[in-house]
Amino acid sequence: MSFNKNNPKAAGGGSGKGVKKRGKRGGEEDYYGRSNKDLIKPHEQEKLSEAALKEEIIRSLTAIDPLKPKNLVVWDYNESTFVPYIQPEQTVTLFSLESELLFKESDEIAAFKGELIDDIEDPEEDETDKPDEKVKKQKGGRSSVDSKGEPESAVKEEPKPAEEGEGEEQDQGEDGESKPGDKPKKLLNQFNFCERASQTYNNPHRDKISQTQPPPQSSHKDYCNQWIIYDAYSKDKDNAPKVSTKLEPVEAEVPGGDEQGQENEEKEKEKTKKLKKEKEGGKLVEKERVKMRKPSVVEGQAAVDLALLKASEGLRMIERMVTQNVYEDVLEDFMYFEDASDEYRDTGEGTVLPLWKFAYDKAKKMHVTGISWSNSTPDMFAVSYGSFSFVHPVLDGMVVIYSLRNPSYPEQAWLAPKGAMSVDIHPQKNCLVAVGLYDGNVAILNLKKNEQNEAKTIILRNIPTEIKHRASVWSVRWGADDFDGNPNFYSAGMDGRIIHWTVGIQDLQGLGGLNGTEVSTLHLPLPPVQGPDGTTYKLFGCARCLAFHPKEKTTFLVGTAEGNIFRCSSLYGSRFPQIYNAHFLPVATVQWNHFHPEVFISCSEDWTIKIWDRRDPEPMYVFEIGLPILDVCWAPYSSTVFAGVTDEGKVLVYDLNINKDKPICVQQVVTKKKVHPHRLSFNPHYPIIIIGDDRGHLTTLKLSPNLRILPRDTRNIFLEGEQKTSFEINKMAKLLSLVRDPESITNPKVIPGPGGDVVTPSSGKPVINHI
Amino acid sequence: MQADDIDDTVKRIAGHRGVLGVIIAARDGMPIKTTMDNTSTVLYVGTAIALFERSQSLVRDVDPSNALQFMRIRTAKYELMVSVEEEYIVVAVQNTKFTE
Repeated sequence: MSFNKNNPKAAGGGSGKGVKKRGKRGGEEDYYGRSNKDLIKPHEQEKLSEAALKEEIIRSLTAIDPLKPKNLVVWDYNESTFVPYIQPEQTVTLFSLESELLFKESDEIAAFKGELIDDIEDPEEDETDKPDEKVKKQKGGRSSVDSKGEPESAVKEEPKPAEEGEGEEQDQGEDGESKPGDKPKKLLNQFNFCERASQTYNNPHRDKISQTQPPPQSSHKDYCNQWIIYDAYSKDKDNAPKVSTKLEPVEAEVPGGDEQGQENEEKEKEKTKKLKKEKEGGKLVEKERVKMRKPSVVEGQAAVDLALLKASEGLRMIERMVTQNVYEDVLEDFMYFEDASDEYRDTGEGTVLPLWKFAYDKAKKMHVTGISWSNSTPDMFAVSYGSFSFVHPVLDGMVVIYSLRNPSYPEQAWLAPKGAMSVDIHPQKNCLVAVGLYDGNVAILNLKKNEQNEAKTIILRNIPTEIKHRASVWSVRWGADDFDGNPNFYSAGMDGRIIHWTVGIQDLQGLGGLNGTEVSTLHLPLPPVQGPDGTTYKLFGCARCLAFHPKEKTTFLVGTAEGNIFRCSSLYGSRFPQIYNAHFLPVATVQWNHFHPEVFISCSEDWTIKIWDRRDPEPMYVFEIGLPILDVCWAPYSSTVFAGVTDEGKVLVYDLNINKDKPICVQQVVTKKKVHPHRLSFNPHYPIIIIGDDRGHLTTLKLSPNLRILPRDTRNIFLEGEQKTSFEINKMAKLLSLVRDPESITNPKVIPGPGGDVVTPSSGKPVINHI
Repeated sequence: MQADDIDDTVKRIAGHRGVLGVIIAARDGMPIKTTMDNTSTVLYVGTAIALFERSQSLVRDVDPSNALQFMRIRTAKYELMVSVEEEYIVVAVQNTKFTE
């Protein structure tokens, strides 16, 4: 009310901006501590006079909602007009409860069909009064049997009035509306539902707590990132298809597939066996049969060593890294050093730079008899150690595999009984190495780790009784794979036979899987000789070297100890397309030119190197060195470059394109005069050559740029592939045509040597003398 | 390599110019074979393994199908080379100034 007094207008619905002050605390201050007296009036407030301010306005509270509209209309479809919409009472029902009670005098009672009781009796009270009732009933029965035919009905009424007195029995008996029966009849609803409740005794609740022993806990920390998840997945994937591999071995056996299939099948068989064993372990076991356990002190040193085998790969890497550091300067030279002074040499000469020296202490006293580079991995090469001195007692030999990556120690070594004379690595499968042995046998080494050979080499030897050379095998060379894809190779022996060997499929895992067929016997073109018992037999040449044509797989050359070179075909063995009378002393090496299909080179101890065109019985070029040439080799990158090594220890490199007369490089590579280099070989990939000597050492030399001039096209880019091949062939052809032109040469062109020697050959070809 | 070759190989490597030592240890850090004294061995192996795990994590996070094979750490005074197999780790320490 005080509120009204102060601001009646504002309260009644002013602008709404009126400050609503709650003056509940009365007095002078309100909630905010502002005194009432300092009322702030908004400037919109209407200004009233004093009289108007004191005017009392009565407001009453009604249940009528003032905001409800009073004149609502609604469209009536029946009458097609608007009809006032009368709203129900403006009351809000807050609570309603259905009652079972009926008003006594209401209409509904009359309509009620059931029987009613006037008073609601307490059933307990009912029972206690029963004996009294009965007594009274008897009394009443005697007295009122005349008045009423329903003595029992009077009983009902009695309990209460019975207390009052017996005199009232009769009155009560006359009441017609009394209910019969001892119990008051219950009121039933239309469902005949009667509710009866009882309550059980509720047990008091008690709390009981027990606690178990906590399970033993340990904390486990781990981290999870992408590769850990990847590992888990791959392990899972590897474990999963175990079941299906059981079926595969059975199927693979039927066609009796090739070597690869068999090997795989066996591997799978073993794998599944092992997988079964390891199933509980849940780990996949690798190929090794010996289970590696962690060594413990109890098991001793042997177990430690065995377990350490697993570290061998790591050790190999470490050794390579360490030697890389040790030979760092050599490595840099190998990769990057190019002799700049070569540009200033007018004669186009070059030099060779010594790089590494390879030696194996167990092969110290042996001669290097053969060197073979691997075509597919150009840092790997195989060396055969044996002996060239047939007079002295023969020592054991070896075949050693080296890698340029580790110059200090060989990768693998295999002991060859009685000396190995020749070695060749298969051009495609560089795990197969063919070895020709001193005693006439041949062997194949398999460098791959296999399940059967923990020692990493399998040696397949020919069965001596069936077929073998009767003398030492001077040369072995791989040929093209045969129709079944089996590798095969040829061997040339001192007994004058060329034998073609096929590596048996089935027996690759076992021994003695070589099948040999003799291809030819080198019968010399000499008249047969009388034997001691009168029979004549043809002489045969002792084969010293073998060379296969790079393109025609069936043509090969054999150089003999008599100085002949036989051009043979593997298709027919008895007759030869050509026999060249090449040298006077044994032919040390023959080799086909890598590019030109008709050209080959030969060298011999008779101090000469000869270059031939196979169509001609006479050589194209003859180089008189003046020293026995022990080996010669074409360069793989050019058709006109070749290198030879002399008995004195010098290496000679010729490039016929630059200088047909003189070598463009002469260099002493083996320091001691006592040491003779026996073998020379060009690396197929890198510009290095390797020379093996009779002290068991191998020296690698890098060729300077002048020695390896590669052809460039007009744009100054190096030629590759087809272009290069044709270029090289043309180069060689030009050189050959120079030599073969008959009109220009009437007299042989003779260049006198330093000693004034003039040698006139009977043929019309020039002879070049030099040292 | 045969079992006895391992021994020879270790000795050979340790005999190269400038090599301070070669250690073969199990992946969990327990050294098995070493050419150095104990304290240095334990020191090198512990740190090398930790570093290797870290680098391995780096390599495999980039490409999970890849795996780290070996590491070389060149410092002013020496070069540490670590090569790791499934079960073993091989560590070699070599002088750098000497071989230059």
